[in-house]
Amino acid sequence: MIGIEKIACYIPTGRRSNFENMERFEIDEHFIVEKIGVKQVAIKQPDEEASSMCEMAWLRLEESLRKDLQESVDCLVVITQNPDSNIPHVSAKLQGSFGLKETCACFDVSLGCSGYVYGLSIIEAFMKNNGFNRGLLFTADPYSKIVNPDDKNTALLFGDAATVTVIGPAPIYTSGKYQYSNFGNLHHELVCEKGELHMNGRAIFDFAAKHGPTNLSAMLDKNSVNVENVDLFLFHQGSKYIVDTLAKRGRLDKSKVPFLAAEYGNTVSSTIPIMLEAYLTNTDVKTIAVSGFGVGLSIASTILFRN
Amino acid sequence: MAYTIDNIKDILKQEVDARIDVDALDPDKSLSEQGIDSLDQSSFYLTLEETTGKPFSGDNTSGFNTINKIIGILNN
Repeated sequence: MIGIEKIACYIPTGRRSNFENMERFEIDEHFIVEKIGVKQVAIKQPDEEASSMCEMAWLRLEESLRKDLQESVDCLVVITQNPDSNIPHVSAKLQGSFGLKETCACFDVSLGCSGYVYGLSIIEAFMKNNGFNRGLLFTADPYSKIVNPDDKNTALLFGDAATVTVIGPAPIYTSGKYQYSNFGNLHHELVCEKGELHMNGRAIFDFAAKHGPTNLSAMLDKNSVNVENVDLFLFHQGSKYIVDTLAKRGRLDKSKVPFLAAEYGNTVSSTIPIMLEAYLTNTDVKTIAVSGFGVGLSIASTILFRN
Repeated sequence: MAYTIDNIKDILKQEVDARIDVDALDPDKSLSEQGIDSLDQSSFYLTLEETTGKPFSGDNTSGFNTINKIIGILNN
């Protein structure tokens, strides 16, 4: 059985503080700390791209593991909607950069905040269908390329990051069944037009608050898992407010629903693996529900079981 | 049923920041003007929709940005 063996993350050191924008955006400290929960957002260097951020995540894997992966990786998948360029795909560049074998399959997937959970399902299915042993799943969506720093709806929330998840035959976590939802009639509420991100905050809130708990509940039913038996709920870190709202409306134990993005922001498809990395070494956490939601507007959820 | 100011304030109490004294809100002043931020307004309008079955969505909220305007829509 294949599953998650290892995760490494790259969060750029550059930051834009939300406290410095309180007057301009007519907000106060309470709004930053207690409501959106994001004190500062991570900002990449101007010359960094999705591929170079993925390379930094790769370099955070131990050297011995990287050497082993150069010989053993059968496929490489990148989740991004902000690739270096339209052509070629980021995954192809990475395969060359990492010196992976020529038979390594490479492709990108265009998804946003639901992308990590979708990506897990895609790479697991792809590996099983092809009899593959080892795969790499990257997330990298440098939103600072498309966020207007003067737009209150997006500038206070989105940060840059990249992650890599090693999928293989000695997993720490394996996934259960997946549950997906999509509301294409609402696609226009979160779009990038003429190179700039536009988000209708209230519409996104309504979508997540209404449909997030339903999707989660359906996923747990599908896996025959009682909500009380879930040790941890790792929701996409859209903002503290939406994470708290999902806990409240889903009647979840709030202590099991962390918000951990205060120092780097909503890093799109990277928020879940960034949190998950910290729990790989915590053997007390046996069962984790993960749920990503956003662009599409889409939701994807699954449950992870510790081996 | 005919909705009252108290009905609306009961919903507001569930959804807005504890720093807001809901009982003291002026029904003719906008929610924003009285310190209710955009996030709490989103929660409030969603619960209002779910409770009353009437839509309170859209980008232009000026038609229902005071308690009395909301009551006017609900009782119309």
